[in-house]
Amino acid sequence: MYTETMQVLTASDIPFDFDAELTGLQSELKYFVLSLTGSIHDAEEVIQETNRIALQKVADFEPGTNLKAWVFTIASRQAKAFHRNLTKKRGFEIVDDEMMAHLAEEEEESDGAFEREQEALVECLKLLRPAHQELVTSRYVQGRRVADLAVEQDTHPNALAQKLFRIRTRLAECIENRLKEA
Amino acid sequence: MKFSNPEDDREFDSLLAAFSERELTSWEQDRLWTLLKNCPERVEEWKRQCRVVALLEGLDEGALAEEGIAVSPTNVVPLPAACDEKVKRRLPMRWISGAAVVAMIGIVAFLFSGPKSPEQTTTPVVAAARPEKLEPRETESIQEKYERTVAALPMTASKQRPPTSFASLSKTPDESVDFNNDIRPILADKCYHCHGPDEKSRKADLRLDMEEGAFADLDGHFAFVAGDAEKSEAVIRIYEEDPDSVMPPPDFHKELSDWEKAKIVQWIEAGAEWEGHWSFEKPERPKLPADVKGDPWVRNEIDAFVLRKLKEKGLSPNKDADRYILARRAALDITGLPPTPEELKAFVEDESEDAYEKYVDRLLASPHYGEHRARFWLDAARYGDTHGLHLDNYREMWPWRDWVIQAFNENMPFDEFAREQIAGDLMPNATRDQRIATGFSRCNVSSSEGGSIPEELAVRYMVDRVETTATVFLGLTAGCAVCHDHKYDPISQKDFYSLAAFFNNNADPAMDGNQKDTPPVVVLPEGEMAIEWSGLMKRRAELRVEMAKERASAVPAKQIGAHPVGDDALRLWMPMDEMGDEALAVWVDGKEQEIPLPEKVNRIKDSPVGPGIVFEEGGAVAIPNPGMFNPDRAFSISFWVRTPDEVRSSTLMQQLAKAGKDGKKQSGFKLTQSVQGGTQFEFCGGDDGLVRSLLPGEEALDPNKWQHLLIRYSGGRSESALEFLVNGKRRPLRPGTEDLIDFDFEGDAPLQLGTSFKSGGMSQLRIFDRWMTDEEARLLASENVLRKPDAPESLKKLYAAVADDPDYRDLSREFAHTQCRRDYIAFRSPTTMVMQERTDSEPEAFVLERGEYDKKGEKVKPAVPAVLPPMPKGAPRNRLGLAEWITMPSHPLTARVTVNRLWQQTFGRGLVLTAEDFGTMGEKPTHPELLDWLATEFVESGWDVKHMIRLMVTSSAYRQSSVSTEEKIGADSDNRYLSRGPRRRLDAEVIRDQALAVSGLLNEKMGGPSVKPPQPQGLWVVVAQGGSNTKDFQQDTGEDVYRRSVYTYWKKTAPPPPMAIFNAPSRESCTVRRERTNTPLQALVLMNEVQFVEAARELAEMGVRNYPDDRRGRLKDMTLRVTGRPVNPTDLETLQYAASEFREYFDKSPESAKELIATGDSPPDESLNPVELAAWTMVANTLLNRDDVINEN
Repeated sequence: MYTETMQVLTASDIPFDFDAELTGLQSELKYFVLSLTGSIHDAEEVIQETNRIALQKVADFEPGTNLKAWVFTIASRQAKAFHRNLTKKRGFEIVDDEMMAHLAEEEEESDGAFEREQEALVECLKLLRPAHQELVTSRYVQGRRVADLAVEQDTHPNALAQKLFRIRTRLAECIENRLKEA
Repeated sequence: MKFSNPEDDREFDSLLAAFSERELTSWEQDRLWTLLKNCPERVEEWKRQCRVVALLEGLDEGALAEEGIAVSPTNVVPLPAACDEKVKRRLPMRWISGAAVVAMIGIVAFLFSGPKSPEQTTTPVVAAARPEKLEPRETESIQEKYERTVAALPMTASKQRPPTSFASLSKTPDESVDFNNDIRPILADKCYHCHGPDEKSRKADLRLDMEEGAFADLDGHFAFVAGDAEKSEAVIRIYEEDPDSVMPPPDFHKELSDWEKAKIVQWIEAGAEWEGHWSFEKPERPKLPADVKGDPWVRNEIDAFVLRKLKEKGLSPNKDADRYILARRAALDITGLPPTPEELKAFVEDESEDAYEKYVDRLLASPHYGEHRARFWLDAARYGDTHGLHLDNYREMWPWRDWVIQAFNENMPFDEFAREQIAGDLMPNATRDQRIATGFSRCNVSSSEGGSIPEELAVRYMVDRVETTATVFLGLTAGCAVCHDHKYDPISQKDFYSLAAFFNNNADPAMDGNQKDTPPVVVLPEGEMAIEWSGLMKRRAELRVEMAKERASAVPAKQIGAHPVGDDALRLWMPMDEMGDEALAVWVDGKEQEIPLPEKVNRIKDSPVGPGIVFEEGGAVAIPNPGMFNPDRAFSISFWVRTPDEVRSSTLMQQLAKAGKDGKKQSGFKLTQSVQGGTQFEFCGGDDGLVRSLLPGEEALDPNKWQHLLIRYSGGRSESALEFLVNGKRRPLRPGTEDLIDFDFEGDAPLQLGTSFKSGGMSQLRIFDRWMTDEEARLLASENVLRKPDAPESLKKLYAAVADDPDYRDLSREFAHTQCRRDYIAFRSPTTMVMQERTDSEPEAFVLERGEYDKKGEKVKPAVPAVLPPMPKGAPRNRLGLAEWITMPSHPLTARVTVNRLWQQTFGRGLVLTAEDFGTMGEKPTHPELLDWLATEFVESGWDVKHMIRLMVTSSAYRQSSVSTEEKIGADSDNRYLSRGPRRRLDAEVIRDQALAVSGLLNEKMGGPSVKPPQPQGLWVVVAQGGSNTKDFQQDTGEDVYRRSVYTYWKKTAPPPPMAIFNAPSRESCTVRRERTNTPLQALVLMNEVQFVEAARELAEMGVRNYPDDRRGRLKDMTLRVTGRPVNPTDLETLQYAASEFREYFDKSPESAKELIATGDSPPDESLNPVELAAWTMVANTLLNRDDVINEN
């Protein structure tokens, strides 16, 4: 009779580039989860849990299939659980499952879409004024905080956040236009 | 973007601008979801924004530079000192907290199960082309691999971390070093996580929050060696370059700055003097600073400390504010209301030297003082008018709120105030008021949700009570130790549960029953009922004693009569125990009748009390002329019932007459069972109403089983006068509507048994016109045992007294009568929830693993945290002892925490900014000596709150003008050094009360049930569950809507919007410091909210009536009333211009004028020209929106 044996995986058992891929997904994952939680703190928790589960279930992942879709499914399940917990804690519902499904809905995405969008983004950045380029890169690429940048520029953090928001919206439009043309 | 209305769109935009830059507040998050809901366009926009940030953050800096995109040079720009450190600490977005993930993954890493199919059990996927940078070693464990992976994750925010300690930029290490100021904060922030109070996460046995630990010998290594930095292991490790040995570990992402390292070395070299955490040391009364003695600015001790600090900082104070400003400021801070024009005039014109002091004393004597002080206390105590969870039903607690107001007005010494609230019920001969005071610990949210686990809820309440008590009185974040030892403060998990043990012997049930008066409660009858009540309670206590005596001395009965209880007032008896007959015998009022055995009703033998009947579907027994119930009279229905073999909708019995005007309604009663298993008794009153009592599903009768059911009604004409007893034991009812029974039964009808009771059975039905006592209920339910030859002696003894002894019968009948009056009065009187100890157990608790209610660890007795002084000698180990300990004059925290809160209420910002946290992670006091002086003064004055407020508001520091200069904003941006007078946006309640007061609308009535001023439609419905009694908001009418905001009905899951929008907390948990934000919503409330518009119209009416032809005079008067200051000429011109513009507008559109002035509950003055009134309503509305009106100046 066959008995299932428990086996401890060693590093070399893990599909080799799983971790690199997972690493590569983090910045996408981060905002995907933020879009599901609306809170930076809560997103952190969901991401940790997602990474944990992804690594735990690594054996379930079929190499060659879409890792991103797989990880994002885990993440949206976690986010759903998070909202249910919240609902239970508060006694009333703010975000229901339907809403979550809607948010987590992914457009059919071909491979490399993120990279193509990023290429478009670089082109779009070139269209900005140098001052705005610097602002955007300081904030998002170098990871400086709005509060610090505001002090440097002698403005209010909220005003700066507004400015960044406007620039982001312009960039998003620009990316969409470029991809449509291509 | 244009999705719906422009306000929502603007709000949505501002959320989009903020979400990636900072944590949204929970209010903002709620708004975000609300705005996203049912709006696909917004959802798309939201996803797009998230996506674009992800794209941006994924870009590579080097590549961008190559593309010619401007990237700023990467050197860190030092931040100027004006930036608030608190903000900095909150902002870093560390997406993956390395340490936390590693810790978590450590648990799961070795739980990986092997591949699923046997074919794959050999080494599965093989590494072929590994990317070089992530090349793992062959022997690498998963844990290591994970750490490496995590380390490679993008840490954008931490790429450019500015120096961590802010203070480091303004100080240099050659200044003197102070442990509590310089070293402890470094240790707390960077080291405690692994070397702190939490035993479980402590590494290398090194503990740095205690002196013993910091200097301990650990296998020949010493973390700190006084005077010798080079021998100190800590120093060696913080300067270590090897990433495997350096402390803190790089993974922890808390590297020390050079300044911090230098400071630690300096401290060790200087002798490594250790001090306890400042707030855990008893405050000593500091000497007054000598150098400012005699300075004319110094009016009292407060000023001496403040002035010295200002001088230290190179600042100087402002002059006194002018009298108008001062008058308004003091009135708002002392009473929460602006001064009336008369009060203002009296003060401004008072030429005596102590005019201000006299003015302050008048304010302190006003009853509005207590209302204002109480308001802060209600936040802290999480007071509300609903339970806060699940149905969020009404909860009656307002007598406690009134107690708080009265206590402040009577200037009850604060230690007494605290003691009575923590343990008033345990004081010797506790008075009614002392018991009411304990409502403080009953203000927590509670639930009665079906399916909740009572133990879990009980733990939740206990935890909340400890957290609240610790926050309010001790300024400790004890809640951090629920799941594990506190990470930063020396409060172990065991300390927490030892503290919790004080609150773990309460008589209140875990399920609140969704009722307004979850026991224990104090009943507070008024007027004549109050007199009757006290007599009633006394008599009931006497009767209980006498009856117990009689029962004890009874001789066991030798014979049992026809009934197990006295047969007086037995209206109907149907034994059903005759066999073989084709008829059933029924005694009505002692007369025997025979009823032919109907079809579909069968006899059976196996009821516990002999034979009975059982019903088929549709089978029924009709008993003619049994007489009707009368809601004024008591009754009891006793019978044995066999529940159907499966739970189904059934009718057990009913007696319903046709009633109502058209004869289509019913009158009488009905006993039914639902498919959910609940058992329901309905009083039907024809046209006048229906009152239902429900024994809910989880408490219902067991299916397919014989059991005894007693339904008793005391005649108290309320739903709560009815009770179900199953097998002699009371079962909690779910109150449906908690209604009064204010109708009578009409008509007459036969009593029907069955009709829809398939497979159900009955035996020994008795209906009495009196209330059965608990003892009688027991006898009725034990009839089967009692009739056996071997019945226990105790039962025969009980029978002898209760059923046979005529003396006992008199006592028992009198007791039943008091029950009727008790129920009648209790239901018609206010109640308030209180604390009460269980008598059958001792206070104790279990340490709960990870805080989970069912993971019980060590059992602990009540005790106070080890780091704080011990309980006074002889103090009992219960809440009373805890109260005595908290209010010991030598307690290091209570007085400090309390005066700090009073200071915060008066100056707008505490001397310790984190009023809720005096622990190591809290802010340090800006004026430590002043805080200690105030704390000792408070205790020495006999905990005199008014004295402290008086000291504060009469100081020069408080009286300063709030005018600021550029220099002051630079050096003292948030006025922590008090270089100017307080200026802040007023709190929600003050803003509303002020509008009501200046317009003359305010109703000054004090106390009583909470009131419901208007609020937008539908707010409650969206948060309410189906059966909630706070689902539909019913606005009050008349004068009640103009009461002070402290009396506004507070539904915890949907607080009153004009309060919530101005940062009032939900009151679901303890809040000792409100946020203060400014949002566009606030302006919308001020401009459009019904009562604000109504207040503006009232103000305009007053102006137009008083100055019919003098528009300048009108403006001057209105401005003085609203701002508390004479109008200046520029404003006068502007406002006059505005008035004529408004007039012009309304002249053209008189309809909108009429519409505007019709706003609110009170009608506009008909005698005034509507167009003129509307124009001036707008002027008044403008005034109420002024910056110097919504702010304290």
